Amino acid sequence: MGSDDVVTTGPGQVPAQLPRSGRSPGRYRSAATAVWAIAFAAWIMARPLPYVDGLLFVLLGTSALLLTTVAFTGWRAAAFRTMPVWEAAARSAWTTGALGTVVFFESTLFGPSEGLAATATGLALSFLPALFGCVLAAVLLARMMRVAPGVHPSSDHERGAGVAWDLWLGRTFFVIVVAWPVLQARLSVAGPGIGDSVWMLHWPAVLVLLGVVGVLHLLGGTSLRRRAASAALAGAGTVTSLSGLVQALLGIGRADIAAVTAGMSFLVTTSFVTLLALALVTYPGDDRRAQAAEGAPLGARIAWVAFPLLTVALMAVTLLMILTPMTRRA
Amino acid sequence: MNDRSADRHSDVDALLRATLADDLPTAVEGRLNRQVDRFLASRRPRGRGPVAAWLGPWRAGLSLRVAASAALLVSGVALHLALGPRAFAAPVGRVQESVALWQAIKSARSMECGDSARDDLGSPAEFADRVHRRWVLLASRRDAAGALELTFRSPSDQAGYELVVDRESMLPRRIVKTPLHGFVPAGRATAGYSVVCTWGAQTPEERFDGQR
Repeated sequence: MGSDDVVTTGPGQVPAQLPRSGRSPGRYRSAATAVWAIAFAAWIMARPLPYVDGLLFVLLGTSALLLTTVAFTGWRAAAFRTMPVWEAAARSAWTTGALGTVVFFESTLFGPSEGLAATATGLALSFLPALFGCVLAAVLLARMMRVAPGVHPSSDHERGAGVAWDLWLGRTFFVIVVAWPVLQARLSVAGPGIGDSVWMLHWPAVLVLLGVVGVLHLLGGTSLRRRAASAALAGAGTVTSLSGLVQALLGIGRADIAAVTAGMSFLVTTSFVTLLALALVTYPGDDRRAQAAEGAPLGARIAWVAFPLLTVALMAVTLLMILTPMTRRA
Repeated sequence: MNDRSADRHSDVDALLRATLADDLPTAVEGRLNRQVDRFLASRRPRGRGPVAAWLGPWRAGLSLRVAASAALLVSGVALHLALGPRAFAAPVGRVQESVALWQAIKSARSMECGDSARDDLGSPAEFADRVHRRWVLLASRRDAAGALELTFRSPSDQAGYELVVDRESMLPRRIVKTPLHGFVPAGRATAGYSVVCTWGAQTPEERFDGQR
């Protein structure tokens, strides 16, 4: 049996370990960082092209999140022969797409105004990243079906340092990808201020989200944090987002634009922060547990699919609320 | 005697090695290793990492965590009610006012704004199309009488437009055009004007037919 051969096992049989990679992780890390930096530079150049823009956002974000799933030591094809890694990649693509919708929506709304038609088109185009993320996730899930079940990555203790490094590298790349469109939009406005970009978040909504997460943590205890962190965070995000939606709908009923925009800002901010926290904080823990042998728990899988879907739906509702005038009745 | 004893020991060693050979299948060995790892991890005391040690004084009991969660919730809701939608109000209001103006002009039956404005803006449909596609809303404010003052820039015309809009109908009562940067107009465009407009609004039936 050669060094790259994989032992596959059927259901009920003993899971096989994958062979270790003999290459230095530093080489992979340097090469991948260089490729990623070039792709990021290309993305910055391609920003005027709306269709390429969203696609590159999804590809760059997914590749960055992949680093939080698979360390560079595992990149020598070994890790990509396991189902949890493909599933995590698909989940990351879908989450990145949904987050891209929020980011592009905000950057259109807060960016330089080029007229009503351009703004409406920009808001509609902000849903392209979700579409690209969905397509990429479908492709990755289809590819996952070719992987033999029961194969798990090597429990290589030597990877420890590399995993921590790559986890933080992936997180940093992802934050750069998410922050750039927003900053770029703000910098394009006359008299820009970086502080204004930060104020695009509605900070009271972040406090409420943290409070709901704290309450859920109190109710669920340590086992919730260990086994259902993604589900709890997605649940807290759902509660706060829907409360923002209810406020906005009540504002429509009373023809009160201030209430509508308050609800919208609550909704958009909690969706954005929840997706970002899922990607950066809870997904790496889910992946560690999924790769340990048992696979991801059902609650985490539901959160992976449902919350990004809810976000895209809420952003569509927000788009309709923005483009439906209430000024006349106010 | 010693040689015989040594031979016997080496035979026993060989027999033991052969019987207890480390020939577990790789898969079984891996599974056992993972089980041992999980067992050791479950026995390890939790929350004793460097971050937990640094946070030692703040790792308080249940009551403090309840208080912190409640404080976050209450302060978030209170700030939300007190501050309002700071960030979103301006861009959303800008889009809403532009859409309302565009729809009101588009649905108007007729427009009387004087010759200069008619030459420049055309029919209500053309005017609405211009608002939709070419005009950029720069600022909006309410005047003393409660009317809405909207300031647009038209990059294609190199001109600025100031509209005083009726809050009920969202139709402009007064239009002021100002050329930008000494622009010399050509063709239909005029240098600048200030006109008062009257509008023929559609009946509800006409509006319904138009929407269909």
